[in-house]
Amino acid sequence: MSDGIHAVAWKPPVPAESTSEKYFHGADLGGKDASGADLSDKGLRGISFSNATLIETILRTADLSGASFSSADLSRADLGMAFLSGAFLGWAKLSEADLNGANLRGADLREANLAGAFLNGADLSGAFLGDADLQNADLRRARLDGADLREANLAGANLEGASLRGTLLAEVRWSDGTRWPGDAEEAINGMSRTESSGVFTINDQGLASADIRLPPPLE
Amino acid sequence: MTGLKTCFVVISDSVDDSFEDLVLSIETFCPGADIAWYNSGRRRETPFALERVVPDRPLSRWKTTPAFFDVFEWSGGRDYDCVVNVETDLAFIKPGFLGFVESQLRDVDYLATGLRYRVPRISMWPPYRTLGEEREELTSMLGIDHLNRAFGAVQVFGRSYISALLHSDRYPAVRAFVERNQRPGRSNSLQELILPSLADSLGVRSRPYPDQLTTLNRFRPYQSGLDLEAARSTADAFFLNPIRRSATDPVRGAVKELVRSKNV
Repeated sequence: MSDGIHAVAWKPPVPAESTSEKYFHGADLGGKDASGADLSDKGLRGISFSNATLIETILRTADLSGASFSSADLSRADLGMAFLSGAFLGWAKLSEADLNGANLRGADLREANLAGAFLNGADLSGAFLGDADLQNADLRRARLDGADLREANLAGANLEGASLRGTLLAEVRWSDGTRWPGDAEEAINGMSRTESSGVFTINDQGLASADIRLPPPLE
Repeated sequence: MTGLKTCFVVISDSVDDSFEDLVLSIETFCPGADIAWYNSGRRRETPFALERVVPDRPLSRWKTTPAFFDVFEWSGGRDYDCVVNVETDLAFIKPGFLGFVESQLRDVDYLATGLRYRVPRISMWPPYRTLGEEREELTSMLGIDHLNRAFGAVQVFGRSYISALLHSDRYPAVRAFVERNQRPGRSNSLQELILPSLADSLGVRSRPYPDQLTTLNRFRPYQSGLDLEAARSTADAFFLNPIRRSATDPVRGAVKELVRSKNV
């Protein structure tokens, strides 16, 4: 588990100006390769990077609200403090990406690979993370209020200090190595079944609804 | 070389460079196996002197489930120990797959990537969600109370799976269900649901590929050079999927080189 210090060995960034592509609000860069480019702090609202290759791309503090990263490869990308509200990241690969402090409110991360991603303090309120792979992700102090994590894999993830108000956790898989917020641990243990040694799934309770939500903590 | 009689079936509507890359990679890294083509397009000539699955028919991208049942019926008249479906977005990258399959088939009859048992009814997974009201009809027809799921590429169907299916009393109803599903608005990628579920229905043994292979055989994103490196050093990783079809894609180029260097 990460100690919060990003341990990825970064390659020297490629300045955006040296590439032939134009990066601007709403641009369509589907399928392009911008690996290693430095696009930090840029205004890129609504840009399309669907199927793009963005390995180790630097998008730190960029405005990417409403952008599409459908099926993009963002492995080890730096998206720290980026603004990704309402962005579509379905099927994207974000393994070991730095999303610390990113704003992902209402983002769609269905079936995304976030294994080993750094989401410390990220705001995922209302985000859709159905079937996402969050194994060994750092979710400490992340806001997951109202997020939908049905069938997500949280094995080995660290959620210490995370906020889970109204979070949908039906059929979430987790493991002995998963660290839950202190105020949620007992409830989650109580509503989970054992799949195999050290592997658990949170029950989908109730016949008509999948609404397995943790009650808000007492104020 | 193993004692296993294996047939790879390429289900494809076109024959292009990536088709050739796939065939060459199988011939190189899985020597001795047969390769057959299920033509889901309109081309007439069979490429590379491959065997051809007959009958076949044109099928659209997300509606290829009938091809599997045509393949099962075609292979039923042959003496294969197993049939493996492959797509032209993938390629084999090192030897050992046939030995791996042989060892797996000692105690299972069906192998698939990401095989999960009992899809929860709250699942948003598209093949399950788009099945809609037909879910209950399907489980009832299969005589089970649940459905399973798996990724569709490189499923291994052992002789017992195919034989049990073709001799099952349920088979006519299953085929009819698959045909009805071809209508517009019905489930997409039904094969990713019905084929793993059939394993339970038929009472044959099933197993997922090892967990570490799940990211090397996936829907998207396309595999990168880093992924290829990872695959080469990962135990039991013998193929990579998906690879961009462009001849200029560096991963495709690297795979071609692996094949070429093995054949030198």
